[in-house]
Amino acid sequence: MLPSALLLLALVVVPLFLLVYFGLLAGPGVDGPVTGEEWARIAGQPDLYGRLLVRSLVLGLAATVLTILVAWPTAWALSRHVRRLRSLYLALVIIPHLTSSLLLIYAMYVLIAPGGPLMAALTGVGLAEPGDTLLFTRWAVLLMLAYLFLPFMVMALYAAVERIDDTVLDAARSLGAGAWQRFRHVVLPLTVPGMLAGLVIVFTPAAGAFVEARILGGTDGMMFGTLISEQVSRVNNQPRAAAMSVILLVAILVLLGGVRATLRRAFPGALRGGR
Amino acid sequence: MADLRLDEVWMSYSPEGPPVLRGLSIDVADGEFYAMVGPSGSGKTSILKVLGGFVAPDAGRVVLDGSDVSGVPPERRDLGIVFQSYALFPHLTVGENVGFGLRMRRVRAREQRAEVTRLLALVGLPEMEARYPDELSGGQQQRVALARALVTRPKALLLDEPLSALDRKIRQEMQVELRRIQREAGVTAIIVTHDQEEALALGDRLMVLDAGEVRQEGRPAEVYSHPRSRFVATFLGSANLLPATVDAVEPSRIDLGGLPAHGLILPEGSRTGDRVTVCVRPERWRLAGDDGAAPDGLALRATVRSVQLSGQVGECRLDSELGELALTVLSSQVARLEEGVEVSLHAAPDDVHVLEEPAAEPTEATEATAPAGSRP
Repeated sequence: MLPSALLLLALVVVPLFLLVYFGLLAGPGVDGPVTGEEWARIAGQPDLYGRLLVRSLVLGLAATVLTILVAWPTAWALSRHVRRLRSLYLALVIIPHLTSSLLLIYAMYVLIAPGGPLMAALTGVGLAEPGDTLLFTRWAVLLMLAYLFLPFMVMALYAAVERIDDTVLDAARSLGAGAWQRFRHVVLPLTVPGMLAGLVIVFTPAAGAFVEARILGGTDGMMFGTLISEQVSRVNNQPRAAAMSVILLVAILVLLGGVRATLRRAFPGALRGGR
Repeated sequence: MADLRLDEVWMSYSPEGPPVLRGLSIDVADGEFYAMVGPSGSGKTSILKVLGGFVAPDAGRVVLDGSDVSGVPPERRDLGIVFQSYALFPHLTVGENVGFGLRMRRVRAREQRAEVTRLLALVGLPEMEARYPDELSGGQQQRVALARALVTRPKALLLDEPLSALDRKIRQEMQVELRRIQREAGVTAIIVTHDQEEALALGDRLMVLDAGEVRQEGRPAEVYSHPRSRFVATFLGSANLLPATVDAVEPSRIDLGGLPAHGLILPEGSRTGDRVTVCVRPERWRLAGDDGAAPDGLALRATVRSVQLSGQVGECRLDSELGELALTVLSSQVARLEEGVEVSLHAAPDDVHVLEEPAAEPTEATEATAPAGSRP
């Protein structure tokens, strides 16, 4: 076997098998018999596990959409408008994220706390009452996740936008396409592969996030990942945590597959073959 | 279909920068195939950008179909453009690429399909509709680009070095095809190229461009056989350029360093004593018998220095009293021209062009691609 295949086996396949195996044990602890009872327990409480799973997936997807909305114009501007200062701007996008993500989370905490800069500004323009706060809501988690994974989406889209040949846009123009038509029929389809790459990079960790939810989310912003981490760190029921991880993993894969299939139908030419 | 005109167009890419187009005027008739040829940096692509509306000229007018379109953006100029890189939409099939212009104009789907089929048949690519551009060869992509540009029945077709990315054999095939398609579509076409062969083969009319100015314009055969400047003589094909002095005007007599030439047509306003350049195309020399008579035109003796056979023709270098000369003969004649053989060359008055500019060097025999300096 090739060394790379061995590496893949040791670092990905074996741990995945272990995860599935641990999930079938009876908890707590990892020395119980294989019964599958943790799966039954999870299935028996859909209002807790099901609800949080759906919330995690929705928050992850919403965060991805938010990053696309912010990153798309950013990537376009980086590739078309700031040719000379491009590296500087790219660095400015990345540098804040070189610090610990915990620091970023607490920075967000200060920003959205009652009377914090963001809330004060929102109050100033009449969008919030004094004393209102996003803190300890799912909106705080969404904002945090979008901010945290933004640079990945900028990079993914920048790579896609940068590859678009200007003469292709000139050609569309000469064929009668106005600005909106050029965007809709040429630029957007050509960046779909980049968006899909960004989706995988952003959605997967965002849907599995737990630190952000625990610090900023309160009960309103609790996520599936929060529950998993509690099973490990507080309840000490590793088999339950393993079973939940498998569920989250499968749910993420199914959702990514669904989005990919939908995009492939909508933009058949942009996503053909192995792209 | 329409006529197309540039009136005294000046253009530069930056306000302080040197002008790329210097008061350029061209006038292309309805249905004409107009070729612009020039070295890189001569402003060819800039002309297309101005015509296409991608760049606004600093001064002058662009007139399409009788009306000034200077302020009209590219998407409303109704021109078909074939780009050097083809610029096909990589995410669309061949059929969708060709139909793009109709789709932008919201033509009904059934009509779109019929037109796409018609155009793909015209360019010789039937049954390729479902392929993607990256599954086609360069020549096929070229045809798709052409079909896409023609599908909206544009007022004129602009071609930017359309054949430069193809290999030689396909390029010659496409030249013939391009001519056929342009005639069948009956569309006014403007091609810019740096390839003199392409320009000579394709254009109804030819314009030689240099440094943003028209150097010479006319039918290709006429421009080729009657160059009016050293630039045109050497850029289109090869030329022997010989320094000379006007001895007499009426009847004309020209002195090439002691060797006289009679009966040549002098540039207008020539006077006795003017320093001029005499130009003879290498393939216009005739190998004359040694009959002793002094005919009109230019006659001299030369010794073969080297012969290089390249397919149908042989390229020879000769030493003469005027310095090194280039001679091109059909390959059937090459056998007579061994190294060291002395031959008599004669060029008829119509094949000897007197150019106003004095020669830069005492003697030179130049070729379009690689100028060879004189080596006495």
